[in-house]
Amino acid sequence: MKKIVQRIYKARWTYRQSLTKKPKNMSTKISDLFVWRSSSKWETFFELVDIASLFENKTMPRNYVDIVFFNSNGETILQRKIELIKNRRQVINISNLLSKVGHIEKYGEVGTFAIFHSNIPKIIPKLSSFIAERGYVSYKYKDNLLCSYVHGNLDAISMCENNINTVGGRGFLTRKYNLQYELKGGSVYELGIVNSSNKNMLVECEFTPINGGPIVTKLESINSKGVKVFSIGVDPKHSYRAIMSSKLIMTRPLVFRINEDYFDVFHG
Amino acid sequence: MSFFPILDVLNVSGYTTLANFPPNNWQNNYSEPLFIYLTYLKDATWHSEKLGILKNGELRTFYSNEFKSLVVDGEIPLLSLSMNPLPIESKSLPRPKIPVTDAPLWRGTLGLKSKTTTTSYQGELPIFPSQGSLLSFAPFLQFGQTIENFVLLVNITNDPAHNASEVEIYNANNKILLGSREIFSNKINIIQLDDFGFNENDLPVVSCRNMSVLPLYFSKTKDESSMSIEHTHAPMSMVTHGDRFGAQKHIKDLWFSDLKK
Repeated sequence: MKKIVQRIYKARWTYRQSLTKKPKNMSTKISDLFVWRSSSKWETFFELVDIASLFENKTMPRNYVDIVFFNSNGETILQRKIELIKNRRQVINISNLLSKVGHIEKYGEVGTFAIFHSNIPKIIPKLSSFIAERGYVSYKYKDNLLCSYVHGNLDAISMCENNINTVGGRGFLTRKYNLQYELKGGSVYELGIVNSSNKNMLVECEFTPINGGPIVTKLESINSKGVKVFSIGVDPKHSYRAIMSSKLIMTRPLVFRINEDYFDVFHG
Repeated sequence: MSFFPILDVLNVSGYTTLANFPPNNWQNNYSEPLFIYLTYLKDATWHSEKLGILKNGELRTFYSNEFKSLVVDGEIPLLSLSMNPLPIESKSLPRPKIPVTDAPLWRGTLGLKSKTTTTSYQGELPIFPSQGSLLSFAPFLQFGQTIENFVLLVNITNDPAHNASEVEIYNANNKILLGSREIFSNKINIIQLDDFGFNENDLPVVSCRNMSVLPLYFSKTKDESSMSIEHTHAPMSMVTHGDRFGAQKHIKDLWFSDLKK
């Protein structure tokens, strides 16, 4: 009887509620929904590597990627093809690409982007798998000499024959994502959360005091493919936890910690 | 069964924050206190010392200098949270019992702190099998006169020993071996990547044919006013769904065959 109750409890969270939807067409390409920031303070870069060439050592025709940019409301603002160079590293200056379409004036200082590889090595569909871009974004803040790197880790969005669809899951019940991190005093924290589902989603971010300070709760509606930034400046005497609540299966935030001229970026 | 190491490298002090609350509310609702342990290797034996109890809902940060008297220089301080007590001494690495989640895994904050800034990532360190390998494509090098780039190769295994292995560094484009270094199990092995002559368009490959390691790429300015740390994904992360281990095996077989010593 206890096992039946446990199964019913588990099913409320798992029945037809996968983290990501598996595409039906094996020629589908998958990408994370990366966050771009571009302003007088922030620059964003992407480390582009020809993933397909890592699977095959024969000479292949040049591959390319489609980079698709969305504004914070999830609307497509730019699409570019970039030719890949086999087994080399290409640093794509995302901010420069966006500046050509006047992003700040038209589209604001934050949004998302996805990267779809043109070539699918034969071995991948044979393994019932899909090529996935979960690569590395770097951010530069003010005059810092170094960029701070963060990897992608979510199957968020797909492209198949020029059709773009989100593949992130959503559930029936509101779920909590507890960031296992202490937001220590003396810094500003900006938590970027993307919506990889196909519906607009409400996301609540509760900053819960660990050591003094008031509870701070922020609620945002995030469009499909869009992003919202939840921020808090933590008094030097205080510290906080961050708890995200929504019907998205995964509301793992991208965390920017800013301390005067210094910064760090990491995934929750 | 994961540990949370304190990264104490290159004169930058390490810190690790442990959290006693699950990362989500739908895979595990654990709400009891957890033991905090420090495990370290000394005299070919694993030693574990109880540091206290972490109440539910609490976080606690430990700094590397707290354990200088206990942990021999060069050994990794391994923190853990456990529902069960760990043996004080053992010949196999103790298995802390932590509540299970996978979306995401139960994580800690692993960070490095200088006088002016910190860099961290949310992670954990699994116990690696005695046999394994590493293939890491690493586009993290940053360039400038005052910038230094390192790979920190972190390994923990069951056996309380420092078994040697060899790491090879290649340029992915021509697959020419640029150098090799000896590394050891149960260590944080540090290799400076600026020594291999990479330029801004090169894709470095870090490989080890007989040891699994976590590759952390750490860049810093010489004065440590700016720092960045991140790990590469395992090759299986280049695909999703299906037989991801099969994809990883395919890439590793191909590259280990092509990369000539």
